[in-house]
Amino acid sequence: VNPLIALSGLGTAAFLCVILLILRHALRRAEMERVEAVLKADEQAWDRAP
Amino acid sequence: MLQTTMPDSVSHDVFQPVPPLQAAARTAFRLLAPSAESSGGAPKNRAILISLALLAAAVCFGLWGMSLNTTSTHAALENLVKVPVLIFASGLASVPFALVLLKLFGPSSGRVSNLLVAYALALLGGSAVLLVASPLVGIYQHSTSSLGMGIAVATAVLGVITMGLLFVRVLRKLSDTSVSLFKSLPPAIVLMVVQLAVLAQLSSVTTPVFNTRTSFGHGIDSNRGEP
Repeated sequence: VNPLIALSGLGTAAFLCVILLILRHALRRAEMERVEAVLKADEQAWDRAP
Repeated sequence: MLQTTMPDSVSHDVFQPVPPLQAAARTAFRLLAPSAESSGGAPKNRAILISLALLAAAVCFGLWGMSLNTTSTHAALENLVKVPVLIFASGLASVPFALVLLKLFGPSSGRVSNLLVAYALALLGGSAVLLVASPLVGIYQHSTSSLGMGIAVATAVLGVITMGLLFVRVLRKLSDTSVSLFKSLPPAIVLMVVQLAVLAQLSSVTTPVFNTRTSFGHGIDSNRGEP
């Protein structure tokens, strides 16, 4: 295998791993924000309820 | 008496935000769509948008690559890995170049994430075009010797053109309306040109992706008439 291609393959694999880690972290954070927003809206709705 | 169950008036009007994956997909389609309207505000979760678009593009490129070489299972499986590697390696070599140019000569309001979002979505759009063309490519590669290669190369050219057009469209939607497109366009053009130049050289040192080596796959030497 050409070393340039081997290096490209390794670089791409590493890049995809980093992308997956970033995605995992961002999804966790977004899900947490979503749950917080739901809880906050729920609390406000309870406050408004007669 | 203490109320322990949720009143009816509450259960119906509770705010339900869209799940992050669904929101990212919606944003991607909104930015890729031809409508003239602006992005509707900056996308919130850019990291999710970029990551998802790149991962989906890698899968689409791999599947298109498989359809290019139907002569043997080994060649098809090799292309499944080789095509995304070639695209991403050339992208990794060209993106830093464009980012430095954007910061040095681009508009002062030019954001790095705008360029990355536009690039990732352009790759996704171009690879989606290649993916939907892959059954046609596969059938012609398998059944005809005269047209198969021509159709495969035509889909590749179509994919590159689509990527370029989508890149400009998304960049225009994301960039500040007060900034002229001519100021934010040069880094995008440089990115595409450098990526194609790197891709040609990388293709020349690996086994051909198509059934036979194209003039693009011979690298810059053959295009300059050198052996």
